[in-house]
Amino acid sequence: MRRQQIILFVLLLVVSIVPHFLSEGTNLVVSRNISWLVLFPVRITTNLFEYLTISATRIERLEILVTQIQLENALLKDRLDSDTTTLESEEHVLLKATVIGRDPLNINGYLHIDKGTNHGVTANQPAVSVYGFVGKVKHAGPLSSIVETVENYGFTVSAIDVNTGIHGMIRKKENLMFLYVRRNDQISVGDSIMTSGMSEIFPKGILIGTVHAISESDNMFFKDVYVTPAAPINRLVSTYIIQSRISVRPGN
Amino acid sequence: MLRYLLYVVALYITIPFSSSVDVAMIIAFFVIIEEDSRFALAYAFLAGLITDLYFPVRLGISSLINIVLTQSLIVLKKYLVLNPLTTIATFIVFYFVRTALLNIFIASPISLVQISCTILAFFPTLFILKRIVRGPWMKK
Repeated sequence: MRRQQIILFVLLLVVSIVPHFLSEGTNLVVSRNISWLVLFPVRITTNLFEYLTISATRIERLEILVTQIQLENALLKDRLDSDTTTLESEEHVLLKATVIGRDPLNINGYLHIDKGTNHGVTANQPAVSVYGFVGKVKHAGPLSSIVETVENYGFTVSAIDVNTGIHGMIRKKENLMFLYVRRNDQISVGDSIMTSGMSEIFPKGILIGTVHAISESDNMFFKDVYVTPAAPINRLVSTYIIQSRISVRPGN
Repeated sequence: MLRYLLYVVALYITIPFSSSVDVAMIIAFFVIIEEDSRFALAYAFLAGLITDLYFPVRLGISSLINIVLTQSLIVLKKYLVLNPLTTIATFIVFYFVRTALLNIFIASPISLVQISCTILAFFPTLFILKRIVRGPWMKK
């Protein structure tokens, strides 16, 4: 073994052993300083890789989000077209009304609006919003009216599942329920529920909500279908009253 | 000189992946077998130091084990007839002893997956290194 090699070996051995005799604090400081100096290129490379990995993940998430938004946008466009053709028909006109109050004992159950019989509002006229179904006029005064919303306990409206064509009833119990769906009916979470038109009050095709949960009930024939209302009743500031064109025509 | 630079660059590049495949130790072994003894010692020390700094447990322990093992291998190298079988056998012993010593001194966990991957990656890495180091562009 050459002398140079022995000297180098002993030197490196000493350098390797010395840190073991240092106190923990000194060892930490030395480690940090040497690490900053020696690992500078490694840290740059690692950070770059981490950045690229995180970027790739974020891009993937954003792509999914964009696709979802595009899909949602297309659905909303369809719904908007559908609403326009259904509501702006020859039979109906819309009267915009501002929400001016709420029942303090049933904050989402009843809305007070600034339109009344003087504007052609009568009891049982349907109320909608840009999001979907709201309810119906319960009482019409000369200058203001009270709208009973879909979130009022016991409110009922005939409805249809758009995807499957299953007819039933929307009723507010503890939750908003789509009733009379048989146990063997193939209904899915995410299905849109609309008014079926089998009513003297509500026209067909107004979005009531979407199915958010399905559970097997104790009932032998039907299952529990839970619906999320399309219209955010607690955030509504205005609503549209659907009026029959014949009833508001001048001279009638 | 260019070769030595290559080894150091390769060490820096491979150290972040050493927790899954210990390529740094394969390169260190290659350097011991192929290069000058003094450089091999210095390189083993550097590899140990960088490992200690990148996966900090106790500063100096990896470099200490590395230089002791490297010195032992440099001594043993004279008595070894290097063919593929003895090379891989020597590497396996070298790597197992290093892992065992780390486990004894700093309770570093023994990962069989890492050991298997490192042994599997041994010949391909050696082949690539030989192709690079013994390539005509390196002899200029």
